[in-house]
Amino acid sequence: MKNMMISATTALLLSANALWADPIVAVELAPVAHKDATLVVVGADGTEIAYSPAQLEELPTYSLTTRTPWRDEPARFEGVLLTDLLAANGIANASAISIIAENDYATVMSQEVWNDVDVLVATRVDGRPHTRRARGPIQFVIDMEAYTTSEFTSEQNLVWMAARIEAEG
Amino acid sequence: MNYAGKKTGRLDRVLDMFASRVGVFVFVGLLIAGCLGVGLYVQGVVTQLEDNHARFRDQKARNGYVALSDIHRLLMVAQAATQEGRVTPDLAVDFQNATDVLFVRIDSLRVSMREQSRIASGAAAITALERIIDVADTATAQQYPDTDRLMTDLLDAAVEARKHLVLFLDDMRRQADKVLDKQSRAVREQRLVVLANLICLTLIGSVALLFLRREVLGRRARDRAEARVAFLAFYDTLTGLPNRSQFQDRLEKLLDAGRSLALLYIDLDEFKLINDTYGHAAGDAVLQHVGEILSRLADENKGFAARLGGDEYAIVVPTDHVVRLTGLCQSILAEADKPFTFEGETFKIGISIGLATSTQAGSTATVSLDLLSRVTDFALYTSKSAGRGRYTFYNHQLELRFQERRAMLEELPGAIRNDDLEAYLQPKVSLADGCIIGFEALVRWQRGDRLVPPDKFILIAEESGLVVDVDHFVLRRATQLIADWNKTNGTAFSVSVNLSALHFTSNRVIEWVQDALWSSLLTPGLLTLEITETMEMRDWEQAKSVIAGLRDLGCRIAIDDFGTGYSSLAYLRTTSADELKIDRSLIEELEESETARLLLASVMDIARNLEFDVTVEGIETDLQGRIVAKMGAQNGQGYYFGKPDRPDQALAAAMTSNRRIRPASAG
Repeated sequence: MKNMMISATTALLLSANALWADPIVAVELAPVAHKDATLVVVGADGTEIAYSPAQLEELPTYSLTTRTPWRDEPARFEGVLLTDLLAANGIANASAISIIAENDYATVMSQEVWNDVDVLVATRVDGRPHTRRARGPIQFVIDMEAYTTSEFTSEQNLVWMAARIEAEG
Repeated sequence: MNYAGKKTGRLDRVLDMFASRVGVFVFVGLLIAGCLGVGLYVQGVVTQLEDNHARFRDQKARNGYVALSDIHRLLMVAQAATQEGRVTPDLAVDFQNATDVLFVRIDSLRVSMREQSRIASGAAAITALERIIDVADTATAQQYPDTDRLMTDLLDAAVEARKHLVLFLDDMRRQADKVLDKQSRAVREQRLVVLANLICLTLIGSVALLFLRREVLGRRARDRAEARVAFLAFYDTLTGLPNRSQFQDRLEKLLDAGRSLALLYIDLDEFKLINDTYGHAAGDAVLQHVGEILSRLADENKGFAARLGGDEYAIVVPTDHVVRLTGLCQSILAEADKPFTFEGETFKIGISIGLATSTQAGSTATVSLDLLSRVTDFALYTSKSAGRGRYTFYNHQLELRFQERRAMLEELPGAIRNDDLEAYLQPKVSLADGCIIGFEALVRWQRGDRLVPPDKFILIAEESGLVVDVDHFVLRRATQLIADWNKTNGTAFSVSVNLSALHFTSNRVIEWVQDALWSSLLTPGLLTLEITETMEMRDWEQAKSVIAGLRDLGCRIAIDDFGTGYSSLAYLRTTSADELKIDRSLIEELEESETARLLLASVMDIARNLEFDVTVEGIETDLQGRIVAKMGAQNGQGYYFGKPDRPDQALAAAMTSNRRIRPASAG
């Protein structure tokens, strides 16, 4: 009887999960002319790799439609997952990363954040290359619902004009 | 009731009120309401603090400060272009980026202003910042036609923007001060409320704790008192052993369960002597010492020991195995035989044991506590009678004796009532002339067709207390017989009547003797009351008082059985007697033993010096009579002169007897 109840509950949860589709979906992006921008990632061995938006998009690309604290209406952001980018540079297991923006803004993101929610390194908005005035060209975006429900996220994680990523500690 | 009592009573009423269902409900309700109120207040304060924290966390102030930095960055690029005299492609990129950064900053500031309450200085700052963007965007759109002009326009717009930003930041600081002040006030208020709440709770808790302590102490005192009462009810305080009540309960349960068991009654020999000689402290020490021995040995045999009272103990062991029980008895005697020292005095403790098993006393299914107790008591009695310091197993022979004894005990009161007793008379002879001067009345019991001599039932009568009635009977009977005979025959025979030591604990015997003399009209001087010193007469003062009362009636007092038992020289000195009756044991070897003669002569000297008349008992030969007469004894008694006989025969014989002994001087 108990096993039957557990099975029924599991089935119900799976059904609910299917209805609540993941907001981030893998997409194929056609090449576009991006603004000049560079995101430097310091690898585990200290190697610095500078990524242009186009080079970033060589990683698996995803689409996320969401609002942000600065957008009243949802926009479709496209780009790569932070976890893929960190993994590509061998720092996916870092306890935290420091992020520096073009405007000298600096912040630290702990591993709990990217383990808890999907962080999209967006290079396009609504199909167009991301602009600086729209907080591009490279912006960290989190689905607004996940952002508000997660206990680890904060506005400091939504870095715009991202310019450098480095493992902490 | 005093004041303290009233106060306590009032307090108890308050406590009773609180302990009632309604009281508990109201009290707990008040506590919960108080805690809930404080909780709600604290929650409100926490919400306010969180709100304040959120205000601090917003980006307004930061956006203001960073906007100044962003303006500076833009101006730096413009200045570089001015120095270059033109805007190079790299500078154009930097200028565009710096403009974009400032643009986003303005957007952020605008968004934060929208989220929070609008501040007028903020809106003005945004307008001023947008002016900078306009200047920069215009220059960019026109491909930077005049760098100097660009710099001048940017500086003008920057100065204006800086001014409004400073005003905005001042407003923000004031708002921050206000928030902090509010926060501090909230914390202070919270502190006050929490403090008051804590004080209230501490007071309530302390009072509750005090009441609880009072209750706990009261409960402990009650528990102690109950434990004490339970102990007193079931234990002997001196030895810590179970008392008679518990002993009976436990034994009864064991018997009801049909268990095979043995009951031992243990009695200290001559314990009263220890008490009288060494004092009650020593007596108590002995009782405790014996209690420890018995308790230990009972434990070793999986049984239990009890103190039944005085110097009487009991042990119950769950076995009827004779060998084991024999070993237990021997162990008790051996342990008790070890010298015991108390305050420098060393003495040995004599113990007598009576033992019966449930199987010996009867079938285990039917044996009762009373039966087992009585047969064990009889076994103890047998041990005592056989000379103490020994143990006796109850067996068939004892069973018969026990039944006989029990039958005698049951029949004796009836025998007294129905005149089945008779006062036999044994002549008492003057050794000077061989004439019978009187008689000693000796009781006999006509029990059916058997004539029971006194040694068969007097001890039983003494133990049961019936000896008093027996003596009373003999007294009345003998005085009446002799008085009647003297009156009828003109004789002046005297009569001696034995009185048990039990009479000397009260003055009742004086009334009885007086009644006997009055009713018989016997001359008091012809009545001799014979007393024997025993343990029961150690209350000298009472005994002397009774003896004095008897002498005042005109009776004579004789000290009986001198030379045996408990008789002592001190007794002679302190007892006001007229006559000393020397026990037969002192003359048994008179004819053969020089020592016996010397001993008797010494006793005679003492009697003479104390001015006692001397009667020697147990004279069975003419020679014995001559010797004691020569030593100075006035009277003799014994089979040589006449056995105890029925009164009519004894008196008739006295009238016709010609048996005479020659005076000692004639010898």
